[in-house]
Amino acid sequence: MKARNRLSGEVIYQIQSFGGAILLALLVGFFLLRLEGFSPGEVLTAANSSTFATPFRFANTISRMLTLVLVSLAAAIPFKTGIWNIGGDGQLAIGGFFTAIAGIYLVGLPPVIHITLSILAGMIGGGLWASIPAFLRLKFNANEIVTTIMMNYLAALVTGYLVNYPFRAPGAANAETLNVAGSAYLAQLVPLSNLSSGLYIVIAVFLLICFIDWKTIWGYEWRILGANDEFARYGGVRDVRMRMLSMIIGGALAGLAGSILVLGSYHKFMLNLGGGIGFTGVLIAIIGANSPVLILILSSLFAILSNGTIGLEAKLGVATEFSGILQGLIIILVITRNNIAQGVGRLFRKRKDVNSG
Amino acid sequence: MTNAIETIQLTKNFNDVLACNSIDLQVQRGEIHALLGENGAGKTTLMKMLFGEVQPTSGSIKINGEEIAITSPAIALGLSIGFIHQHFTLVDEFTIGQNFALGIEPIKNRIFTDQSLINEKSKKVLDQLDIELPLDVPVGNFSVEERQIIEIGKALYRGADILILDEPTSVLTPQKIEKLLMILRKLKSEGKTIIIITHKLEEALSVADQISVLRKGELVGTLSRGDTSRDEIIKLMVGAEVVETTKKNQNPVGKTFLRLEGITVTAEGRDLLKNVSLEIARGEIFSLTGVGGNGQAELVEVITGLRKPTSGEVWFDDKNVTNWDIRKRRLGGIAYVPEDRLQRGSATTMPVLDNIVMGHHYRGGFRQGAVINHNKWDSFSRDIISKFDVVCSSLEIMAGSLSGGNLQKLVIGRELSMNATLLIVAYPSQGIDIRTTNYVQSELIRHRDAGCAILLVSGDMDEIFKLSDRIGVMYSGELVAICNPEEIDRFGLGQYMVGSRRQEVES
Repeated sequence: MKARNRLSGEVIYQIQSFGGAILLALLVGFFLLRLEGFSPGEVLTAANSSTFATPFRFANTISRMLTLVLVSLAAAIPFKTGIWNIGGDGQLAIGGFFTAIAGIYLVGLPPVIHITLSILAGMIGGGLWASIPAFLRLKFNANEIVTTIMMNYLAALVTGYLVNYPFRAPGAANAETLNVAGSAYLAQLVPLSNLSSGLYIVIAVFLLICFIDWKTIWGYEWRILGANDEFARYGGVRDVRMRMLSMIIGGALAGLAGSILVLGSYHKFMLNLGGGIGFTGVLIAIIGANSPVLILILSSLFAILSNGTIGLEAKLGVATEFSGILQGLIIILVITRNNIAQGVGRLFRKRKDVNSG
Repeated sequence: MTNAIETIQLTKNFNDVLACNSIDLQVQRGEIHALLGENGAGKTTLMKMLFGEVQPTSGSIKINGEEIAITSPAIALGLSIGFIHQHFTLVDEFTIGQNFALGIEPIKNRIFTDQSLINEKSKKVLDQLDIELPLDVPVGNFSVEERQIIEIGKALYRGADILILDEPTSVLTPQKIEKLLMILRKLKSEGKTIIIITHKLEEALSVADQISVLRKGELVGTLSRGDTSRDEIIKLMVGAEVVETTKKNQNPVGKTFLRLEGITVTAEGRDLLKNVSLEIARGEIFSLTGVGGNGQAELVEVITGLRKPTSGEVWFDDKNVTNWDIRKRRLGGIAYVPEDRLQRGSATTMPVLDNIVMGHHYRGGFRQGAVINHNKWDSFSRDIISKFDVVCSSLEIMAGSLSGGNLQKLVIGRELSMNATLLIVAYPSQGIDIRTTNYVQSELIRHRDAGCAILLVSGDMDEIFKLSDRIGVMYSGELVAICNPEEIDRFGLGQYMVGSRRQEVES
């Protein structure tokens, strides 16, 4: 009962302040485009054409959102405990590769089992990859910001070698593996789009993470560790174990993102599978204050923004980098929203003082 | 002769707690003045008021005979007062000169830092301190005692005439302490005024001209080294009020619960604990006392599992728990009220509820598997809040928004509700009002009578004599005496505390 009250209060406050900041960022975006001579109507139509207008576009927007949710959670869960996981890209790549290998070589299985095993392989791959910097941090106090970023390069280079040489599909023009077996395909929900039945997996995983965060002592211990680790240790929280666990779960989620891209969208592993989406996930986790609900909202927004600029470029000739500008605006405004509110408040107070004095 | 520093009726309240009460302190120019007193006696608060870090509630300060409001450290620096904090304030990556000149770098040719001038001045300061150190090495590479001296140098570089040192020797080994005291004597001979905060009587007697003793926020006396004795100072430090002792436990003391065997802790070349052995039984209150920083904190950390002993064993009942982690020991029957309730005892940015259930949250009833039993968390928290009279508007507000006293009550309430077999309570009456103090003390007695073993860490003589069944005294990392409160008086205890006496502990 109590927990529900806390939740609703928090959510209402966040929606208000976030909504304001995001609205402001979009207004500034419209203003910039206005300066270029585009009317708001034109902009909205163009953006709509590449995000919502057709089932195919809409499906791709959703698919991007799903990947963002997973990589954002991959960063947010270790963040909660005070560990920085900047390694989402590497964990996604390793997870995708493990899944592709399982999808290609474990043949002759019924689809349900094949898919399950392939996804498990991806999650284990991502989790293992994340456990290395976690171990280095917890055992030798090696800065995990540095090591997780290094592990991204390592993952890119290792998978790059593997798909260029031992696992390269014969005759393929690009560095990519063979297609996975048909029994490992996730059903496409909209023909030709990137959206697959991976949607249901992400929904289930998202709900599970919410449950762990709000309803279990793991979530509680993660929060306390992040707030004051000396207090947590004093109270009997097994800090090393919980931090390792949070990192492995984070890695497994990023790995899952790779798995779903491989089984649902491309049906093979290829170079640069995630396209650097892990860093966007880190940003979303930070501005979403590690809250699953905010991460869901922000992931939708970022997916719409990045896919929307595709339409802006096609219809209006606005460079796709414009989505970067908008994302930057949102980040700055969301992070400084409290200061802005205070500043505005002060301004009003001063005016009042002047008037009364 | 004018006083370098004079305080007139200087008083400081923190909410409901009186940290310094009407203090009239006089420090003559060119002397070394030692401030002695127990942890929480108000020494540091008094000095922080002189340095402008804390603003007095009432009273005034005169520097060189002139009344001045010191509202910020910048003003104190302008008055040539230098404060050497207990914790280093050096930038480890910078060289000595860069640290000395930080923020006041001399400029040459309008743009560049005048490095040669800095080095020249730094060299002079180091000569003044009789120490030779390379000027091109980051200070992080120097040893602790060298950094301590560099701190003093930093104050001198900035033109300090009055130096305040807050427990400068607490991180030093005995040989290094002697070296530091020699430097202080040399500075005095050059006309500097020095105030040294300490709780080591030996140091005060060896270096100070005047010794002021603070107890419970009051200045209980200032003595000249020439015409005082060690015993007189001890009497001032321990006080003389007669307190009614509470009824001792009539039940015979139960089975031994805690047993420590030869606990030694060594860190950075210093022995923090030396071969400490101890037994505490069910149904007794064992008080651990001593001047702060003599190993009490480390001993508690060894018992609770926060610190691994370098050698020695910890036993609960007949189980060797030396390798148990904290959770296992808590589940094995211990509860612990830490001295530092803000940093160790609570998470101030988290809701009250989350703070109350800590340490209970993995016990049966508070969870089903890993799933939180929210109803239990809620009802348990409400129970603690009403039982310990914690004033808070809701369980969801941040613990940091509670007043100091209320947060204390929350921490104490949480630990007293653990149903522990061994209750470790550090400085329970520090920072809480009389009413709550009385309640906490009666709770401790109730727990003792119910067969709980209690380790009370305290420096408050009233509290110790009121509650203890046995008293252990720590000095310099050793347990130097275990006494029966009926067979020893405050003065005798004080002698153990300052190291001028020790028991040949029969074991």
